[in-house]
Parts: sequence; C-alpha cells; structure tokens
Amino acid sequence: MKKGQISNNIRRLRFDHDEMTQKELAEKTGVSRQTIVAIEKAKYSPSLELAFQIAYAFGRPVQDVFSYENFE
Amino acid sequence: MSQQEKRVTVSLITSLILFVFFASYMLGLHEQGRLAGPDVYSLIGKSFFVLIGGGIVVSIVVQILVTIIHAIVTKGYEPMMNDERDKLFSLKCMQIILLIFSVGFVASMALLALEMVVPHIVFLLIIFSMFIANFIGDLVKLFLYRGGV
Repeated sequence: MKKGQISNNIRRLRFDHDEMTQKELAEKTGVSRQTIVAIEKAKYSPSLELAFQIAYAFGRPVQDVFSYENFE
Repeated sequence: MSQQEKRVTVSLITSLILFVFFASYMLGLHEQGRLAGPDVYSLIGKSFFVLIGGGIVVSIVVQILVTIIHAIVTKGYEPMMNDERDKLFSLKCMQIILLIFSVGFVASMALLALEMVVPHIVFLLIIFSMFIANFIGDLVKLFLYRGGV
C-alpha cells in the first residue's frame, strides 16, 4: 500500500466550537479521551466511521476535518 | 495513567506474580524429586489448572488494589471503555502473543525431537513460553498505549 499522511484540524475545530474539550468530543463520538488525544496528535488514524462521527460532531464535512497527503 | 494503561499494568503484574509463583513451585517439586516420579504428568496437569484458577484470583485482587490506589491518587473516576483503538491494540498484542508462543512451542518440540530434554520438561517449557508470550504481549500493548501507532 502507498504511504501517505493523514492530518486533521480537530484542535482548531474544538477551539471554534466554544472550546470544546477532548472529553466532550470523546463523549459525542463514543470513544475514550485517549483515542481523541491520539487522533489529534496524528498518532492514530481513525476508522472511516469514527472520522465521519467526529466530522458530524463539528457539523462539518469530513474533508474539513481530515486531509490526506500522498508521498509521491 | 488511563484506564487502558491501568488494565495492561494489572495484566503485567498478574503475569509476573504467577510466573514467579509457578517457577518457584516447580523448582520446589524438582528439588523434592517429584518431577522424576511416575505421576509427573498428572502433577503438571493439575498444577496448570491450579495456575489458571490462581491467575483469575490474583487478577481480581490486583485489579481491585490498582483501582483503589488509582482512585486515591487521582481523586477521579474514568469509565471503562473499549473502543476501536483498544480493539486494534488488543489484536496486535494477540498476534505477538501467538507468534512468541508458537516459537516457544516449536522450540520445545525441536528439543524433544533431538532428545535434548525429557518430556515433562517440554510441558514446562510450553507453559513458560505461554507466560513469556503473555508478558511480552502486554509490554507491547503498554508501549502502543504510551507511544501510539
């Protein structure tokens, strides 16, 4: 599989949404706070379903939250 | 320390306690010369089932102790959760456990085939490779939780 990098704007979006905490986002998406921390730091790439749930929590399309860069 | 890390730590401590207990018990049997007796296989089999039962008890006790200590130190409660990241880490951990156990099993069989050890030692080697596999698997899981993927 080709290698790429997934980056995200979760931190900025949380800030834009009344400084939503990581815990609040975790509760909205049904995952642990540690998972949100790992996604935010780009240490863990979420499943497609979780990516959509995070985008839904911010009321944005998924491409506004996550972006993909292909190393080619 | 998160709930997940706490769970892995409990598993690590449990494995370590059981390993020390089982190793010293087997050493005691060896010194008594009971491992050379005619009932050695039934003795190993019984010890294994006692080990499983003991493992459950030790795990529960360590879990309770760690939860109490954690609650006192952090003065907070975090709900237990098992999300997709936890499942992924469990899967990776299980792969490593299976790999290490398989290597231990094959090595034990090779020693048996080469007649380098007596059969009851092979049983013990298989049980110990199970311990080691579980221990390394938990260490890897802890590393994954600490560093991420």
